Amino acid sequence: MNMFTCWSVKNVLDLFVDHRLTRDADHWVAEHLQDCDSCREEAESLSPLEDIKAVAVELPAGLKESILKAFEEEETAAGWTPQFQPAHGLALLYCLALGGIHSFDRPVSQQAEPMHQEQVK
Amino acid sequence: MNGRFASFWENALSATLIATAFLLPVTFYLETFDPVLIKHLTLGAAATLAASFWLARQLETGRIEIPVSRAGVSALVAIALTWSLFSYAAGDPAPASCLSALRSVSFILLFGVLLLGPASTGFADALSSALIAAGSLVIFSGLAETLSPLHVEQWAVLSAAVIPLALARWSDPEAGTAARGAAVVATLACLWSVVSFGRPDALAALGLGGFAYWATCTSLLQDERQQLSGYVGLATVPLAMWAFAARPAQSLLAAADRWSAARAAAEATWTTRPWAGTGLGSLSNVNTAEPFATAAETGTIGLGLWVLFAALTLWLSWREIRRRAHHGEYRAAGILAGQRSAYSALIVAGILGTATRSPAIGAALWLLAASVIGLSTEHGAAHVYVIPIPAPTFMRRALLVPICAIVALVFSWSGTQWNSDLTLNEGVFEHRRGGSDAALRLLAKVDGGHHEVALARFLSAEIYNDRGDLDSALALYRETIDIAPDHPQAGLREGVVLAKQGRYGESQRALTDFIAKQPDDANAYVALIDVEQNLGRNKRARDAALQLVRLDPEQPEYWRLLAEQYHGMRRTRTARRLFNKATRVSELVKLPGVETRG
Repeated sequence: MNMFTCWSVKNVLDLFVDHRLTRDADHWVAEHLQDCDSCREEAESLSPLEDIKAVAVELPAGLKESILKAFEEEETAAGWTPQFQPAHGLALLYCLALGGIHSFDRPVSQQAEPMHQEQVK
Repeated sequence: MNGRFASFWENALSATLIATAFLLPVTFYLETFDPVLIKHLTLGAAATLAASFWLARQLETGRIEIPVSRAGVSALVAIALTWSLFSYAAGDPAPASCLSALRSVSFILLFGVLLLGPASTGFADALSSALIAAGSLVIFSGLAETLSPLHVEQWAVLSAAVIPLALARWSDPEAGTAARGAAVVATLACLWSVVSFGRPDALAALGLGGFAYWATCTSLLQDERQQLSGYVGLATVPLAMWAFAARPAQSLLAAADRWSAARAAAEATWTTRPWAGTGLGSLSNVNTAEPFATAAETGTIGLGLWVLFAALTLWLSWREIRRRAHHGEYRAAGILAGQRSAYSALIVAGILGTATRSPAIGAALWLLAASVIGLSTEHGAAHVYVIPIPAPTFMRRALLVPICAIVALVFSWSGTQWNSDLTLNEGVFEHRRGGSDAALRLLAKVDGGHHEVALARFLSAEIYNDRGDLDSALALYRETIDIAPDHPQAGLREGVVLAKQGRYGESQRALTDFIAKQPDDANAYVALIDVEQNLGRNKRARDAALQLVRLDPEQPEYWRLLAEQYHGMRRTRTARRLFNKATRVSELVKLPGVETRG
């Protein structure tokens, strides 16, 4: 089995398992899995759905109600407060860092009227 | 693949794009020597960083993912990027236009990485917030007074484009009271600023943006609040028309002149190089309206791509708003309607003015376009074309090293330029404050950026010249000419300093060289007359005086100088006639309504 093909297939296995590949790519991965034990094992490890389905687990009492209650509480809270996302935090940090650098090394010229190019002879 | 690592790169990409949308307009406030340079550098660095984060994510996941629904537009992005680079390489732009080319490439890069990266409803919401926040900062109008007229125009255009975004935020079915209140404040602040600035292109953007928002909301959305916000959008049309009518005719004529100049540039290009244009970045940033500027720079192919992107953005979004409204997804449909209208407003401002050629407004336009197309193609984006990277994880991560090196290089270069600009600004300030020693020390530190170094050397030379240290001044003037041969003053000052030192032969050569580059500089002829007299060449001095009189015959001083030359040549009668002529011109210019050109 070609080592490069194995690397390529392993890099797209999660998309294959989620059925997100196009028909051609899906066919290519499926064909490879038929011939390659290593890749097939990795694919099976990524798709535990069959195992979960096989075991019919009975839900603990009250679990459904507590989940629904948690959803409702979250929705109520989300009405007033903005939902924080990592990207927002990073953007804020980026802005603060730039502002900090700029104000740390604040030149004398910025403590009074600004300079514009046209003001210089 | 490490999922957390991939997620980190994805978040970093989103953060960079949002921060870029917010920071670029805000850099108007930076009191640097040349704010335009700083904005170009910020844009270039942000585009490089965003592209690197996108690449890093692809390397971490081990594949390049292209959503099926976005594949067509992605192909267009690849063509536009390739064509832009080819156009820059094939054209013959001056070295100074490198930044302009970098700006155009950065726009396409930002568009591409957003489309292939975080484009989604959540990101569109965050992008709208960043733009609304940036546009609303104009409420601090005291700061806007310090801006140059060009920056005021850009800020006004941004504020006009922000209004549909803020209206969409107000009518968002899931928005809380605080968010709605903030949207109302932003709308009022932006309306006030656009009307008070009174820029024709911003007013046109305000009217068209409001009209587009009303048309979209009332025809496609059934939510009552969204329809109401549409009518508020429509109310901006008469407001814009009223403000437009109250403007002096001069500002409208200036806008018309800009448009005509851009059209003339495009026509001139089409007659010589219709397909390839004159090259990316070859046009100056002033007086170049879209799409003529794109047509002139990148030819018919570039213009076709520009029109195609605009048409796709508007058509796909219209179709998607209708689909989402049909499925009851009013929140996403509202965000899309706001962004689509803001995009339309910016397109109109770009056609009537020069705002979309600036880094801040241009970046807002391309980010909005990518966000709108991304939202419009979100349905079906789960299926992807993949290009696997056939390498194990450690090898793929090793490829991050050259990417980091490129980013470090770009940031180092930008940082040097930025630092030079700040140091130059500080030096100029010290000089104006009277601290010439401190100014000289600071100006000597300026070592990054072609333009900045030339200015710093010239200013240092001026300080030495004022002090009487002619040798140092001469050396610095010559250094300035070496760095910037077309400097408007350095050649003249070199000639004058040489004359002060009594080196008339060298002075004559320096002044002649300068006049060859700038034949309309009257001061150079005055200096040359003095030098030729000292060399005893009266005829040449007379020729220089004749040139001076031809340059501006309404200056009595020039006629007097010419008379003196004839007097030196012992042609007394001619000299007397010329002295009389100088007196008559002198009396003439004292009359009301007659102004000299000198």
